[in-house]
Parts: sequence; structure tokens; C-alpha cells
Amino acid sequence: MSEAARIAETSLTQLEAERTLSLEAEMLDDRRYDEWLDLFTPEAFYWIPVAYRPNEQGDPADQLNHIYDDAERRSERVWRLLNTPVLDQHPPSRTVHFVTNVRVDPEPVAASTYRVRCNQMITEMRAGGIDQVGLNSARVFSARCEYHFVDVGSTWKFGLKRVSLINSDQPLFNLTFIV
Amino acid sequence: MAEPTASLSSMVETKGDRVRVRQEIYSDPAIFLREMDRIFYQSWIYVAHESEVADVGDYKTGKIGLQPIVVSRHEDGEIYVLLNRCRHRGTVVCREVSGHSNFFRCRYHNWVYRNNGELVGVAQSEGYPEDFPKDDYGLIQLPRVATYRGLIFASIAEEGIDLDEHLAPVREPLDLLLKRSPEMTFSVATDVYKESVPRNWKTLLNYGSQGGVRTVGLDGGHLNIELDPEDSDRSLTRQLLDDHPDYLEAMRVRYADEGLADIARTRSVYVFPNLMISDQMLRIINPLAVSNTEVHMQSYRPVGLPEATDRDRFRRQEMSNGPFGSSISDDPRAADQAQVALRAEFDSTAEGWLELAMQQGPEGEPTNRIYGHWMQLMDKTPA
Repeated sequence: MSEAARIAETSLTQLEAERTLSLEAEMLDDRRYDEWLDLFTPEAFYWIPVAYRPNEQGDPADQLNHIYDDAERRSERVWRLLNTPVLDQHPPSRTVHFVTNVRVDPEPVAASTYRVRCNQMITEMRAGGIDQVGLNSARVFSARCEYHFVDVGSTWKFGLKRVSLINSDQPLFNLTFIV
Repeated sequence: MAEPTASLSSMVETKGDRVRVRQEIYSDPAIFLREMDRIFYQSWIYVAHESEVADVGDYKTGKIGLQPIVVSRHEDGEIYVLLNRCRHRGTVVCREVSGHSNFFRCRYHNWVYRNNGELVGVAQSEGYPEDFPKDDYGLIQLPRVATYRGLIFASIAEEGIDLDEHLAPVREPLDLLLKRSPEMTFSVATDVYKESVPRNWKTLLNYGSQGGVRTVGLDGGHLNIELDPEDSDRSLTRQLLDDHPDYLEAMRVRYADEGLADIARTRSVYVFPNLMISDQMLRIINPLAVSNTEVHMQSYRPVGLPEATDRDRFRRQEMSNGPFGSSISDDPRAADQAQVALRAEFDSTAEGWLELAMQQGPEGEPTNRIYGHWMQLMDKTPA
């Protein structure tokens, strides 16, 4: 086949990127966290830095991070959310993830890997009894996100999810749901 | 200022190994204001680390109680701690978290100060009297600033015990933490976790002794919190010493073998009233209001670690700390709810008392000494 056709066949389309991110959002809002784990490659990182630098990664090993999870930590995080009575999530967060401004880099960043940037707004609320601290009030979090989509043959998986919350360096309270 | 609604000496009761406190000490705004006056504006307060203001011109803002402050390194090499409040109309002068500048310019009417507080000039000076005494209008310098191994403390009170005396009861465990560094000092990274804690600052200090953790109350309101010796081999420092032979060697050279077990033991030290140092973080407690506290957690690095050891150590801090970390946040979430319940008013009978007896150590050592010390300071009339 022609070079153009090969590129067209293997490169990531806007539609696929948007669909994948919408599916991720739905999984998180449905709390289908085990399925969410399968969206990542085994070597992938889920990363939420403290310093607000949406356009440059820097070296994660040299920065303070809210989250820098490899596969094992991601798995433990999910296990904890689903299987332990952590008070942070009892009652559990309801979330709505909005995904917009999806931009796919035309050129791959690495073999079979495309960078996708998007904006996300996550609204969160925990329902409980009257006048309870930290409950019954909807909160809004906004973030500029960077994903790496890796072609694993049959589908695309995340090699990286980096979330730059606009208030990453501000006082935060109970962010134990999956952002 | 409104006086607390009940006599303070009736608020803390110690009888042998039993301690109980009135719930009002966590919920009465008048008591909170008195704490500012008698504790935060009298004691030695941790304000910054020397590594955050290493170069002349470096500055960092913060708070002592409710007062905004700025800590700066002046050209004479000294550290100045100033009230971050313009002497003209009271605006905050330095609005950034930290920065670098030999001069501070107030954005309101362009009063310019040197970073040791001296007023250098005012714009549109024709608007001020000819004999306007600039010397009297500098940013207020805190009268006492002192440093212990890189930790900078300041006091708003002109008189009082010096820093060495303040730290004396907690020196030994504090030194054990510092000795994780072959040079017995830290450097502090600029990134900070900030956590909003919807309850009274003193609820962050209710440490006890259970599950292999021993809390010892010291004189002066300080605390030493350590893991039992049998659990020492799961400590972070023990793992680093085992995994990094060059670190072990550097530590042996400096401290010799016998000291290492105590140095390695998992430990947190609380320096009354606003500083907690754990194995990985400095936690600075900023009281905002009676039911609202902001905690800043900064990662620190022991100076003199081999690079691989330093990286390895730094990497292990994300799991349990900060607002995303759920492995240690059950206790705080439970305590949050108490802040609401505490608002209910009780009469003077048994319902209003909170039992702190469970916080005793296995040999009955008190953790209640914080409240004894608190009571002393609250009842003392300042000079």
C-alpha cells in the first residue's frame, strides 16, 4: 500500500481519540475502575504533578507529584477504592467528567505512540447527611490533560495520562476519587 | 477582644493518666483568638528553611498565626522576618509565594522597602509632610529570628526563652531526624502540597500510641513519635541503608555503627506549635480560623546523600501523603466530622468533655503534655 495509506491506517484519528477519552470518562463516572485499569499499557504512568506546568513535563522523578502511579500503584489505588472502607470515599464521590478540546498531534512522539491533549472538567459531589463536613456540595476541577495513545495492535491504550489541575498547587481537600 | 466564655483553667483536666479537655477548646472562636495572642504571637514559630532563602534577595511569604510575614535574605547575609503589611494603608506588600528581589514595592501607592524592611522611598513625595520620618515607617521586623541547622524560627515577642531553650526538650529526636544526612542538615524542595483541613489546628496533634507507634509527650508541648524497635526494619531509612552501600558507608563514617539503629527508626517530631517533621515531609500547620486550618507539606532532602539514594528516597513519598493519599486519611476524615458535632452547645456537665486517655503510651507516658503546656501559655499574661 502507499505510504499515505499506511500512515492513514496506523495513525490516530480525531474520532478515535475522542471516543476513547469519552469511554474513559464514562468508566470513571460509572466507577468501573477495573476496566479503567485495562485502558493503560503495563509500562504506563498516571501522573498528577504539583507544580502547574501544562506545556512542559519536566522530569517526574525530580518533582513533587500528587500522583505518579505505575501499574502496581494504579492497581492498588483502585483496589483500595473498591474494597476498603476508606472514609474518604464512604460515602463515595459521584463524578461527571467532561472532555473537550481534543487535539491529536499529527506526528507520533515515539513508535506507535501519539500525543493527545484535551481539556477536562470534573464535577464531584458526595452525598450524605445534613451539615456533614465535605459532603453535599458539588466541586468543580478543571485540568489540561496530556495522554499518550499507544497502538497495541487491536486498539489504542494509554501510555501516559498527565493531568495538570489548574489548582494543583493550591490547598486541596479530599481528592481520592480518580481524577 | 472578647474573652472566652468560660474560665480557661477549667478546660483541661489531668488526673493521673487520665486527660480530658472541654470541647470548647476546639470550637470557641474567642479561645482561638487568645491562642493567637498567647501562643502564636509569643512562641518561636517555624517560618522557612534556609535553603528556601539561600541567596541574597531570596524571599518567601507565610504566616505566623493570622499575621502575614515575609522571610528574606538581606545583603548583610542575615535573614529578616517582616510583617508583610505596608505601613501606609496596610496592604499586603509581597503577594507571591516566593521570589527574588532586593526591594519590595507596595502596589497600592508605590512605597518601596529594602528587603530588611527599611523604607527607601514613597512615590509622589510631595503628598507627604516635609519631615515625614521614613525611618519610622519601615516594614515591621520581627524582634527575634534564629536558626537551628537550617530551620528558621521567628518570634513576634521581644522577650522570652531563646530558641535553644525552646528546642531543648525535643533536640534529641530532632537531631536523630537530621542525622539521616551525613551533614546533619536538609534542603527543602520548593513544591508544596497544600491541604485544606476543615477543623481546629489542635486536632492535628492528637497522636497516641497504638499499632506499633509510640508517642511521647515532651516538655514544652513537643512530641516524639516513633515506630517500635521491632518494626525498625521496615523503616524508609533502613531500606535505603540496605539498598545503597555508598549511603551506608557515608553514614558509618560520620556516625559510627551504634548510632544508626536510632537514626533509621521511623519517626516524626512535632515542634510546638506549628511544625511537624516526618521521615519525608515538613508539615507546617497554619491556623486560619477556629474550624479551619491549612497544612503545607514540603518534601525535604537530607544533604549529602548519594544521588541514587536521594532519588529513591524522594520517589517513595507520593503514596500516603497529601490530599490524594488515602492511606493515612481515614483518621482525618473521621476527625472532620467531629468539628461539626463539636459546635453543639453543652452545659458544664459531663457531655462537653472529650477523653484523651486513649492517647497514653504503653508505659503511661502522657501525650497530654501538649494541653498542659497549652494551658500554661493561655493563662499567662504576656509581658
